[in-house]
Amino acid sequence: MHNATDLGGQVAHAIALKGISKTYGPVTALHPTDLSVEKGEFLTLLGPSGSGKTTLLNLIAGATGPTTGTILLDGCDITRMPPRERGIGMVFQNYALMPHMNVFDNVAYPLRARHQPANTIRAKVTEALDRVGLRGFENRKPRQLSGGQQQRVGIARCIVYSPTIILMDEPLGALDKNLREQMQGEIKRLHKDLKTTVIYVTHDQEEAFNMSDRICLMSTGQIAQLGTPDELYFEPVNEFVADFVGESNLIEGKVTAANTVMTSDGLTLVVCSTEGHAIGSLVKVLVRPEKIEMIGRSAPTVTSVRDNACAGTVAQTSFVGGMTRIAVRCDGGRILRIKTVSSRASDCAPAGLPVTVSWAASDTVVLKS
Amino acid sequence: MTPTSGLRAQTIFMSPGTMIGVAIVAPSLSYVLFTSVHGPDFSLAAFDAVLTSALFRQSMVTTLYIAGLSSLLSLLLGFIVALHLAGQPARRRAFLMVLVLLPFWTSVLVKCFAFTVILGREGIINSFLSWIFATKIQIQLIFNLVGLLVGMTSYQVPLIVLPVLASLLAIDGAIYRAASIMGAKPARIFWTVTVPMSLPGVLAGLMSIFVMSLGAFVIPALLGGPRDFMLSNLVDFYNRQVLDWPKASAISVILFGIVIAFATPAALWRRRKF
Repeated sequence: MHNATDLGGQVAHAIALKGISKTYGPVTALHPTDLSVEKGEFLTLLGPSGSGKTTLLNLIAGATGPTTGTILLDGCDITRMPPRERGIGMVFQNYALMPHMNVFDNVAYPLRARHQPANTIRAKVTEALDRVGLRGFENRKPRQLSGGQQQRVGIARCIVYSPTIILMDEPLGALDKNLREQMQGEIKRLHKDLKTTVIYVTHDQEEAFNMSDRICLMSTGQIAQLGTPDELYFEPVNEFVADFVGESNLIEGKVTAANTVMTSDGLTLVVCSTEGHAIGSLVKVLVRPEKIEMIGRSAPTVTSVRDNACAGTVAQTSFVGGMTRIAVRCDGGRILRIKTVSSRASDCAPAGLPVTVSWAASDTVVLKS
Repeated sequence: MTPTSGLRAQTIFMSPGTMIGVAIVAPSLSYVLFTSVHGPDFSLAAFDAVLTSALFRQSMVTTLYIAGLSSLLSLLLGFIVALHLAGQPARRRAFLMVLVLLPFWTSVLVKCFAFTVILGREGIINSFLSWIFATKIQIQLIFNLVGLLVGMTSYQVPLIVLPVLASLLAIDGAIYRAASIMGAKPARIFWTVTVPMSLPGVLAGLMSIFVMSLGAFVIPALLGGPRDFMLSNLVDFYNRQVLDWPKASAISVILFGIVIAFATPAALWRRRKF
């Protein structure tokens, strides 16, 4: 985990939001939210569109004022401060470069706004362009650059004035898949080199997992879960989180005893823990598709006996490259999704094959129904 | 759009204009051109006389001066109006646009008469000032340069608001937000973003109102003073007072030439790709 700098016993957050909320007339874009980001941290705001992540970013940037709450930047209240005085950097989805200025002037813009001397500007712009690999492009206009190069200018223009925090609003949203992955790597490397705090907005779960120290998953104007990618994936707090990050099987049932859940069709499941769920309460048991093992029932030997098992038949198999998705219809009629590493079609389970599926109790998470 | 389909689309949109041009404008213009060189025989005497006359040269200077000055004034006023409109929500902007265009749709004669009521010696402004200072005030506001410029700008402002507004609305709002978060103050944003990015609309609008005002006739005749004699008024003078049609035609041809000289580069510039 990240250790915040200790200042005389006080933890100094790069940014801290206290009870911040935003309403537009009758519409609540963001419910009162507390969030603090530590210095040097890479925090991603992840969520579907309309979940409030962009609202949150705009509040930090100062593009809009909050309805309630305060924003502390390095311990100073900036809630009512205009954007230009906040000293924050921002990278935009559609780049927002000045189309009439060349690359040099675009990157020099924040320095000129700060009235820095010409030779300082030249040195800093050159260094920033060096960092994003755009030396020699100084005299190009944005329209003469590819999307990836334009966004590099966007990033250079941001790091050139060493802002305490860099906000990135879906910066790779307009790029194609391969370029997006390459740029993710570059942004990660820049973050490591510059040790800047980054708040990154995306709706792409893989991107969030790949880049972040912590992820703040948002839903309907609230934080659904805040934690490391690991925590979100393996310890989701509710069904929304479980579904949003990765694929999931959710089995409804009732807690009948400690670590035991009984489904409506009489299947008894051994689970990791039922802590926090009273006996008799309705719950959903989460099992990730890649954690379920499938064995053909005609197989002569059963290789492993796991905590939970149920019989069924293969309903559908789809080969999607590295992984194969299999849907198994259990004898009770329930469909379980399974993900396995692909093998050649001849070794694949055909539809209708009777199988036994099993999974370990330690691979389950019990969620409130 | 492919170049051919673009050309075809242009032809379709241009064809009504072309038909009117060929059927109505071209014959009249040809007749004017014919008259300008037609004495008893073919002669350029009318052109010679016009170009050497002091009255013509004086009117020509006045024409360029008035057209230029009123166009710049209109740009200044129109830019402020366009800036304000660009900052409004769409619904409100549509309503305000109607207010801008209302005087534009009004007959120029009606507007000139309205201005005499407002600006006259006994007009609204002078009456109001007299009432404020409790003494008779009669500032000369019409039949001089002031009246002429008021009339010309009221005619030109709506015409420049449209292209400037279009340019301003085309600026991506994220650029303003980016400039502001990078530390730029409003004045810097205005000079480094708003002005350069609205330049295409400004130049296109400026050229069109300048070219249009070169041919102004009614406004200088009704609101201008005796010294604000523009080329169109000179044409009228030779046509109706002196009955010297070759000279009137020659001036028309020269005025037409000046308009072409200014309009052509403007039209070419507008086609330029960014």
